[in-house]
Amino acid sequence: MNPMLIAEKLTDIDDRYILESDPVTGVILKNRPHARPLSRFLNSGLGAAVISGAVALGVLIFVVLAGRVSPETPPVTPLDSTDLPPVMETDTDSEAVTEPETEENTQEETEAITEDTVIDTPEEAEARKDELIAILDGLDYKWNILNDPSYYFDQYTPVKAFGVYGVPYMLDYIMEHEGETDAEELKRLGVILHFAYHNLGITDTSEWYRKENHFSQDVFVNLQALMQHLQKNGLPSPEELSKTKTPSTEDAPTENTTSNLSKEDVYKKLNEFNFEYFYSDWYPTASSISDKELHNAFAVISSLGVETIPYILEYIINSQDIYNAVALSPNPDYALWGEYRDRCFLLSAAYHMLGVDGHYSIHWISPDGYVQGRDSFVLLSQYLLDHIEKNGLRPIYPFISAEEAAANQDRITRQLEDTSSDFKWYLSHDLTDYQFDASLVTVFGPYAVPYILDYILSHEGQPLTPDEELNLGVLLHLSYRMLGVETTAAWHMPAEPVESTTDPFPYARELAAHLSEYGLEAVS
Amino acid sequence: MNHVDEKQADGRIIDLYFARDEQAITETDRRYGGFCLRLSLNILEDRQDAEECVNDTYLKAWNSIPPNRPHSLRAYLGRIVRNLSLNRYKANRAARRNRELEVSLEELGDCIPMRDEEASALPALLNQFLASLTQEERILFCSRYWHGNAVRDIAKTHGLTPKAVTMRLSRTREKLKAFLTERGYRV
Repeated sequence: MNPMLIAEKLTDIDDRYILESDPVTGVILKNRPHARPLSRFLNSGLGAAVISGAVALGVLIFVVLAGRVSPETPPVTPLDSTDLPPVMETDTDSEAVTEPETEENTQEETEAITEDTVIDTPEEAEARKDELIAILDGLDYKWNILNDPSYYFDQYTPVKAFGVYGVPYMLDYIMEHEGETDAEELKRLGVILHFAYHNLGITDTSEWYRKENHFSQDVFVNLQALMQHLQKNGLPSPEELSKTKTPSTEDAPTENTTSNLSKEDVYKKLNEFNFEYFYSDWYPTASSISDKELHNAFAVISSLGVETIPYILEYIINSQDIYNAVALSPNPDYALWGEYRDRCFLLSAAYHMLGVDGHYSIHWISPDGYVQGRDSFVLLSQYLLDHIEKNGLRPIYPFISAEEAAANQDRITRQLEDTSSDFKWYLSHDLTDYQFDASLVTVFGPYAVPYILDYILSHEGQPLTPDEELNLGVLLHLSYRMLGVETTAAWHMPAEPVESTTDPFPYARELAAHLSEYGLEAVS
Repeated sequence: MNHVDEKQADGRIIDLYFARDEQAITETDRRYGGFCLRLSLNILEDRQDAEECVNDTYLKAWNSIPPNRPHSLRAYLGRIVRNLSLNRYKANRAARRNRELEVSLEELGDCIPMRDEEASALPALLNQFLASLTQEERILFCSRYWHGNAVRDIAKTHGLTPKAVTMRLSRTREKLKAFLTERGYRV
């Protein structure tokens, strides 16, 4: 390809990558702990032990990966059944909300900790506690403290990957050192204690590390406070964790949790929850946040227990005024954005607690911390709540079978009519792929595609306004996306709007012809 | 300035555009003039040409906001100035070549086994590819090929040696080539 053409096409990459790599707004690698010179790490005295552990782990990973079949990456074109997004189990409620024990899940447990690692179950924390201890042993706390500590603690450290379920092991680690008198060692333990609080979402511990002395003076006093905090919030202490058998993943979620929180308790906790911490470094380091930060944050909310989901949803639904003030206003009060974003986060967390981590729930919160599109979190919360009441704890989206999609045809059609007016808003904004992920339409899943095509084709031959043509073009794009084909974004780029806006019908027929490859049929 | 402040400042400037208040241009220049000029200079290596591109960028922004309401004004202006600068560079290329840019274009050309007629798929593929990289790989890649920074400048910014940056970019390009080849692209 002509290099100048490549340069031109490169211009259209996502905002988040442009901003992330900008020297002014972006991430400077030298300020990150893993970018520090290795010699400094080795000088910590613990480096050799950690390196040995890392080498052993590397060998282990190599051995595991050597026996692993390289996963096929689905081709973008032509359409192929591997493009289909995964769908949920269909049999029982309990299966729908628990992760199936797949080979992939098993392999995940043996992979090295990276920024994308999320440990969000007590079982996994237990299985990986030795890694955590190695990380704690190797913590380069001097570097942390010498640099701006308040900045440092918001940066990535492998400790964060362990989230809330790593905290008991971290406390255990500190307690093993009780009686320690070496000032340097006490400082190191103080840093670990701080991380423990951070993993619980509690970040108002800054006074400790602003004055170095506080590390040595307060560490065990603060440890007791943290223990009490664990107890108050229903999290296990280190001793309890070692005694309690971890729950089976085959159990229904209602059996896995023991929450006795009242509605008032839940409201109080949500009001006190420090959402801001989880957004602190989302912008502009977009892609680094999605799994790690969200899942750690979700783990904190999940600790409330699945039985509290109705209260959480009710809490969100009671925020209708915020939604109206922000999402529906052309010039929203900027100060309300944060509260709007928090509600979207809570909704994603509620889905997460039900075992749904699909793209739609994640992308309700955009990579830069702002809500994409104007999807009504209130509406979605009501859907989820209705569904819970009717069917027990099970996610409603995506439709998991052709039969279920067929039974909900009216709802699909209604949704298409209701949300089409939003498309113009989408297209008037930055036209990048992830804008479309937020659409209420994509959450229906692949089995809804025949009905969407039917809806599009029902307009053929009718006089359409430009806006109506545009909406049908977007619906077509979303249909492709639900089948896992994402290369149609170029249709909606400003330079090439013609294909999607003037005549979507030939494309709709072309897509309909492909449906049989998925075992689907066009309706008309 | 953190992201919230930048977002707020962007919002105020965009409101000025919507109000058709020419102060919008002044504010844009104050906040993003340096950013746009640097981007353009990385491509054109000529201050006068770059300044003209930046001015043209403001005009394009004035004509396109409204109806557009950019999510990020920085990225929006960056795209415009980059496109304008590339267009001007193409026009001037025969007479005046930017060696650094030519090298970076050649590097990219070597790892993108696609034909011109397949170009429309490239932005989406690049986004997929970038999402698959580590943050460090992605930042180095975009610094070099989107922002057009020289290797030595990237090394200085990120506290790495130029050799390390060169090696990491080389590995990332190999990954890109493999990524596209796996998806059936061949020259």
